[in-house]
Amino acid sequence: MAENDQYYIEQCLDGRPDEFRELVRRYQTAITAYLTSKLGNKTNAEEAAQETFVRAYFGLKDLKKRESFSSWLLGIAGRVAKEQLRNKNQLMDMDLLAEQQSREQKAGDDFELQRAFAQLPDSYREIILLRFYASQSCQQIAGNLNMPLGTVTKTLSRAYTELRRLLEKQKMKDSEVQR
Amino acid sequence: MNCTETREKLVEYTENLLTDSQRREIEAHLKGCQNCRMELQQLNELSQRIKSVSQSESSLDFENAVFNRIICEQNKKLKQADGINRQLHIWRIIMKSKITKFAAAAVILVAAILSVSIFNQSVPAASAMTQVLQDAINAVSDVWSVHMKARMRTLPADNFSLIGLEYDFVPIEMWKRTDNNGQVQWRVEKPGRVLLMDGKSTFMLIRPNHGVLEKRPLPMGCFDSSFGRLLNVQDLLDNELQNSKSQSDHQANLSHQEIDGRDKIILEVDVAADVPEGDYLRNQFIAASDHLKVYRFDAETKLLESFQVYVHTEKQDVLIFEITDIEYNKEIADSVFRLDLPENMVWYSEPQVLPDNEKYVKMSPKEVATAFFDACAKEDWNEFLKFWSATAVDEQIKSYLGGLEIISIGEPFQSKGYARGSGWFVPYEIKLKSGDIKKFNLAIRNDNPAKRWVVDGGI
Repeated sequence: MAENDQYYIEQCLDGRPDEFRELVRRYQTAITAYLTSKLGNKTNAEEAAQETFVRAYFGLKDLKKRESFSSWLLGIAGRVAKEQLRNKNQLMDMDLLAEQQSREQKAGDDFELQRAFAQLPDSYREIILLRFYASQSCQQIAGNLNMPLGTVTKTLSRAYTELRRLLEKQKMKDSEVQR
Repeated sequence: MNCTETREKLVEYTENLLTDSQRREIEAHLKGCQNCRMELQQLNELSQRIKSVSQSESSLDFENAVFNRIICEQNKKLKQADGINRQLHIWRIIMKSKITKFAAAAVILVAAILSVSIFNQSVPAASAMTQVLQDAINAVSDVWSVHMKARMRTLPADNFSLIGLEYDFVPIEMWKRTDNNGQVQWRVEKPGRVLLMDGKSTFMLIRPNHGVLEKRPLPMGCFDSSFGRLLNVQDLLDNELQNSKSQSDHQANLSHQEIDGRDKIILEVDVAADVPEGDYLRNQFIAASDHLKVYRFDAETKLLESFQVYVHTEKQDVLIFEITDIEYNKEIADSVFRLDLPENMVWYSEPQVLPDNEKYVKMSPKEVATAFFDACAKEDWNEFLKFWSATAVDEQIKSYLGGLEIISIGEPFQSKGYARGSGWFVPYEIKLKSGDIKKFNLAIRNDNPAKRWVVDGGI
């Protein structure tokens, strides 16, 4: 039932563009989360996520390593985010951005975690995105990224450690500010 | 197992990736080591914490927004292509086509074709087209099976007749056979839909589990599958022949072409749209567009070999439909004319007369849209079915439309091309339970025995 990414890419390139929907379904939460961490604002992130998928659709035929679709997609998302930030810096000052962020902040959003998540190195962030936001099992991630299962669990383990370290660091900083 | 080894394996432990013996070893260590137990607890807490922020449903609206943008982008690309002379464009397409590999030099475009004979020198000029069509009709008079592969710019799951200049091609396959007793069976299929007439009944399966069943053989072209009529090659050509005789303004053109050393006859017929310019349905159906039909016959066997439809737009002609492969008189497997239906089928049926039918008959289009969305808002699915031609409401529809909020209902409008001008489109804007806003036109019609308004599109 759940085919790997490569299968859907091949279907798309084989004249069934509607199969791209499955890839959108699979990664929309992860890409939106990634872009929220980069752009700090959910509305802009959704817009950027749509743009990411549109670019991916038209670039699909040029994707050489089909097994690394998710990393490739994150790469596109990263570029879209950079462009958006560049454009925004000219238009919007950072205070306004911060204000917008806090306005969008809802109870239960766990801002600390999202902040730490935004600071993770890309490879760690990717594994967390795939495991939790794209709800893939370690085996599925290994299959999609064409990576040994052991590498996946090791990376995940390091990502947890790094995330904990960043959370600790933030906690200390916050308590210093309060004092 | 010591602490270092245990901690290295903790992720695999929480992910259930260890063998039973490895698992037992870790559990034995954990029992005796408080530090590692703490470590495990922190790991679980962190993953729970990530889970609680990461759980958000994927949204259909997001998906649709992406696809709308893709279509816009594609449209832009199409427009950027040079607008060129239609005739040249078509020839260019034919010459580029993989199926018709032929040298440019071999193309003999007979300019004043109607003054030249087609099959032999004795045919009078004016009747050249009649002759071509009559010969082609005779050539298929003894055909007992037809298998066609085609492609059309449409949406895979939508009805059989919707087209869109910017849509990608969707594959279509069609079969028809007549047995020794004259019993006809046929099947038309696209990725999201199957239409089957098995000799006794007519089924339409809308994948995965919706359908219509008519316990009688319906003619080809039913359920909007007008291209299904192509399987009746004889009727198709005869129809063309009658048009050429009866319509004084019939725009047609004949030409010769050589493909792989064989002589081919090309018949081009221009057809005007059956709805005015600016109509809502313009270019959404082949009949609702100014289009060009291109037939290709083998000059020797006289058999129809390919068929294409181009829609004329201001800048260029867009290939919208084409038969890429035709096989005549080949055995077709019996299984093609059987359909395995899923167990949880939801059948669509014609609306029946209700005890309070009059109330629904008298509603204005605006009232219909309001009452329909009200029923969704209240999740009153019994009321919903008064405007719905099915036996039950699908769970997917319930979760999609249930609990919505009406933002606005606009002024209804009509199109000559929809339900013979009797249907209405009602603009609406709603807020779905998911928080997404949807703005579109609800299509309603009442051309059914109960004369009630039913929603048949636009959701």
